[in-house]
Amino acid sequence: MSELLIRMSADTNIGKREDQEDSVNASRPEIQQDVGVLCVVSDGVGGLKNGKEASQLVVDTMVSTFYKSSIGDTPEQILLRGAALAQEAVRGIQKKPGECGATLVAALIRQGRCSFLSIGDSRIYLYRGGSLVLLTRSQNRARRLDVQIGLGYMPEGARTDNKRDALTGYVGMEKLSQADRSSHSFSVGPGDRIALMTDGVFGTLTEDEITEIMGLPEEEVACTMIDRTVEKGNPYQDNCTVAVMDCTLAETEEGGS
Amino acid sequence: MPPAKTDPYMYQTGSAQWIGTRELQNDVVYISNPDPQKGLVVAIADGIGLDQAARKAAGLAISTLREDYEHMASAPDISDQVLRMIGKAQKSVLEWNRSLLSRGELTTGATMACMLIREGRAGIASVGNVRTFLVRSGRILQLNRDHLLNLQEEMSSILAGEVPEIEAKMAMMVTAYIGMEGLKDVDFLQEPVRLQTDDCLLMMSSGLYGVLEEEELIKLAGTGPPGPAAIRVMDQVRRLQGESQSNASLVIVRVSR
Repeated sequence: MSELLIRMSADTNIGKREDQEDSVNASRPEIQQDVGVLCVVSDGVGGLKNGKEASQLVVDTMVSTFYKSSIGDTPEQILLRGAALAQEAVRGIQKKPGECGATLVAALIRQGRCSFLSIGDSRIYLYRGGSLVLLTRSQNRARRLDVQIGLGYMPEGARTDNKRDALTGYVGMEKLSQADRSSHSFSVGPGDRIALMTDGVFGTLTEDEITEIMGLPEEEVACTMIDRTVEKGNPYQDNCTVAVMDCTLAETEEGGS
Repeated sequence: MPPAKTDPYMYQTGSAQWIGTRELQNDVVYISNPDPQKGLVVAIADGIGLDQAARKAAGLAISTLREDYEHMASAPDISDQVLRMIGKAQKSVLEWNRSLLSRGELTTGATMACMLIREGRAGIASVGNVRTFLVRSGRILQLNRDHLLNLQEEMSSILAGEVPEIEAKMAMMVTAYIGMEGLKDVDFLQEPVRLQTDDCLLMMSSGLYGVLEEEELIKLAGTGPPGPAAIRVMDQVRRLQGESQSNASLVIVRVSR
């Protein structure tokens, strides 16, 4: 009998920055057949204080919330509760409201179905059938401007706003009102891969490059993604982190009679 | 259909509708001719309510979107274009609603999704719960969001231990619609999906939700010419008809070389 097995890998690099403010964490893979598997990546918000502390709190809070969840909790409830507790935790280390913060991308796979949640501008991709699908929506000024221009509330000229990349949602924000999550869990199967990454990766590599790397053998994907990012030689290279959840079949022992 | 000049793919379309147990069909469907410069547009508007006004709202949204597409001279960015078409639909239905209000009549609106396919990519924008899916490698993925997350409310609820039935709530509620005063919640893909041969895109109104199991939908809709496939799906919906079956509309787009 075959069951779905999720193998996880991750890699990270400081880039050209003085501090590493990305963090990554995941649940123990050995319990995945019972309760599922969670993977989380977080990026300390640039320009704010204590980015590493904030991002580490985010990923650790998400994983601890997962471990403390009840059997009857749905993945959506677990992700949302984790995000709410992460928000409280990061606010708890602030001396002034909003003075530190971090993005959050989390994917939870249970019984062959994946749910995800995102706050900020880190990303989650699905690699399926040799192509990428970007699953998440960013909470940044660019997205808000695009909607307002499309609805006719703002003129086309607003598209060139020089603060387009400013985040409109991050964990630790004083009035956090925006996030993105899967409307419904979706089925995953052998050959599918979920990649969670910070903007240091997708801001440097092209979609074609990311796609090509996602097709490599499972054990090579995360480290190659980071190696190729660093090899680009961007003089301002941001911290870069990727975590990969690879779906494959695990052969289980037949039960005895 | 002839292939687009600059597009590596061909797109076959098919659609089916059923009035269900309602007296009126308040879903309106639009499928453009594929234009090599402008692309292929698919849209569904689902009028809110059971009366003629709901039908009129959906019809007005679609006719405005269609007019914008047909008179478009250039080919702007895919995401910008779908947002603009949704924006035009919103403006026309909102203006109509305001004229209704001025006469002391009740206002209405429509949920809506619009998909633009061009040069091997699909951009999607939507308001409300008309859903779009990608069927690839035998699995289905919802591409758009039913609703945007009311984060403050849901995080507060979950920390208070109220454990909201998130998915059930989301399935029942329409928190944004075309024609709504002050509309802000427009979902659109962060990046258009890169398509590949044998991909199948589905767009469906809420009358189809929960009637078919996922595997059955993939089997009926995901293979063969899209016209007969759409009819097969609708025939099965009819067979499984509940006591209160809403209007149901489905569009299938099959991608080939």
